Amino acid sequence: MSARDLASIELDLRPSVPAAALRVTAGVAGGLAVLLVGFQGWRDAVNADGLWDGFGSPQLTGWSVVLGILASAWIVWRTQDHVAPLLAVGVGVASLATAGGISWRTFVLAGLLLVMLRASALVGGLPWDARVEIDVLRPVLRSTGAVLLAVIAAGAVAGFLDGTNPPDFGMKLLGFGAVVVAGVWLLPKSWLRGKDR
Amino acid sequence: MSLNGAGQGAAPPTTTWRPSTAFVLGAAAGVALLGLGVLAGRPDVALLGAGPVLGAAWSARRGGTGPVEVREEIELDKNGAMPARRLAASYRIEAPGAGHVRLRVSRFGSVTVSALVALDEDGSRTLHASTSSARNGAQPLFTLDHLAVGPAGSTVAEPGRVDATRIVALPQARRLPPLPLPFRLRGLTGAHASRRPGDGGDLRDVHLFQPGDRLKRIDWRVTARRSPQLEELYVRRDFALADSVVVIVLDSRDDVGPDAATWSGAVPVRPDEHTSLDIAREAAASLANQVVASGDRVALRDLADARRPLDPGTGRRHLDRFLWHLATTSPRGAARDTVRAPQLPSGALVILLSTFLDPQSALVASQWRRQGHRVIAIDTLPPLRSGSLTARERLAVRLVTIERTDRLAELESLGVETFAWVRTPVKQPRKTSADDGAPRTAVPETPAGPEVQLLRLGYRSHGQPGKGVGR
Repeated sequence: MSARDLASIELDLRPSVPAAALRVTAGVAGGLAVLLVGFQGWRDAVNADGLWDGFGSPQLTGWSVVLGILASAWIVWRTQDHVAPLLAVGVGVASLATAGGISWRTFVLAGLLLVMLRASALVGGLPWDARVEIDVLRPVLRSTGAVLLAVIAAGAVAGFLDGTNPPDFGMKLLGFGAVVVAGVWLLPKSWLRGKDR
Repeated sequence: MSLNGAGQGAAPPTTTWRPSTAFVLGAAAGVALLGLGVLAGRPDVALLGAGPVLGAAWSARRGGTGPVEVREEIELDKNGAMPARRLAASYRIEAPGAGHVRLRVSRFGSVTVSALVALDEDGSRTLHASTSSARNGAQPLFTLDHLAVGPAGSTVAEPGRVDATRIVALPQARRLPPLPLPFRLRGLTGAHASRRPGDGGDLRDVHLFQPGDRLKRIDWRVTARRSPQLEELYVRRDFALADSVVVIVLDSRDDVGPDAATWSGAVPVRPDEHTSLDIAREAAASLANQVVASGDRVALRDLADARRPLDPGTGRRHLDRFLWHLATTSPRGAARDTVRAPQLPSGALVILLSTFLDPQSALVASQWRRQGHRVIAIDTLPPLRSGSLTARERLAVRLVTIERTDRLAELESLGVETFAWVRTPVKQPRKTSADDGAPRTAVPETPAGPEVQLLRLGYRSHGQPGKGVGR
């Protein structure tokens, strides 16, 4: 007896997306984070010898990348196993093998990890065909965006203060923009409100 | 009519909120990354942990609070039942301190649905769930599992459950042609013409006025023509009307599906398939609907449960009562052999709904036929599926089928009219290469449905209305 033969239960839900989309989003974000660190490691590798070894420095071998991709697949397959926090720590450890310094990659990586953690926490334990109302996603997206802005602002300040690697122009611009946005966000709302007519 | 079921009891209970595992692990990962970055002197690594830590700090301030309550409301028809084609329930979720709620609505025979639903600004939400059921009769409705999640996803409440309420699903009635009439009609009123003198029917004859005739029956035209001097008066005499009593006899001892491997009861019948009792209920509901629509009286008897007969009656309320009785029948215990067939109103049309898997129902049908009732035996066994049977099971089914066929043939020979409610599709013969070019032979047709069969049976009695009345 397959599920196709059974009657479906109709629920009057608001506009929604399938939970599978969020599971895939979490997995893709994790996989991209792994590839980004791997690519960074490959670029920064010393004495790269061949594609497999060249995937990273001695600390970040190709097997780590494969393991990370498998962990990302695991997040998609079984979100409820809480592999995402483990993968986030793993990506952080792997980042130690790359050259230091805050660049746009750091922000992208931070964003990917945050999306992975949030998405997997939201749909953990839900079946593939479960529905997630967009009204549920909206506050999550808002708070994730706010946290990312705060991270970018903090990163921009840290990048300026970090004397080991001078920040490039793009990051300066990004940091400046983030600081402006964060400043506007932190301003009292009464200052931004127009005069009552 | 509505049933209210509180998922958590009458008084709102205190709900315990606890941090969610995903939140705790995410925050721990952030702290670990932050610590790693600080210890290694790597601001880029520390920044990776800043996001989860900031998010956790933001979420921790907005944990869930307050009670969580889910109430079920079921809208029932006026007879306290629900049509099987649409089973529905409403759930009122009240969780003022929650951000959203995880729901899982499940039911035996339906695909489980899970969803993350948002709450309205007042922290409540009403959801309507509906489905259809292949089965009819008493059955559980939805089971709702719920888990309230705090506004930022940092905390979760205790999981709760609203257990399934048992409802009675009414069988869906089919539109049928006029039913066959019994051999003898009863009474002086009704919807059918009889051969008794009386009122309401067609003209019988014109007769001389006799003591006892009503004055309003005097036909003045005939009187003026035949007796211009008014020595004699002539009256018009009509035929009376009559009604028929239909007794629907349900054999609820068997409730078997199309797969013979499930007949032992060890393997459940697939929930998307009709069982013999579902078919019998649908047939009985359709027949009763038609009987009441044509103004006749219908009664219900259950071969397995002699304590709950429904006496003959007509009208909408009687039909509701009939459908309720019908929908609440279920197999009760082992089959009980009876020496004598249950007594029925004289001259009633008996419609027996049975699988005829054992000789008991055939025995009572033959007894009723010998007593002079017109008996129609309707076979309610669903078309059998033998694909998954073992060789021994297939042999057993074959033996049972042979016995059943003999039983039905014997009934036919006694004058009991038989047909199957559900058509068994006839296998088309495979086309071989030798058939190419050969003249096409007549392919055996699929047996006609109940509508055609009833029309065929009805032609006999409708062609001779009131046959035998008054004798």
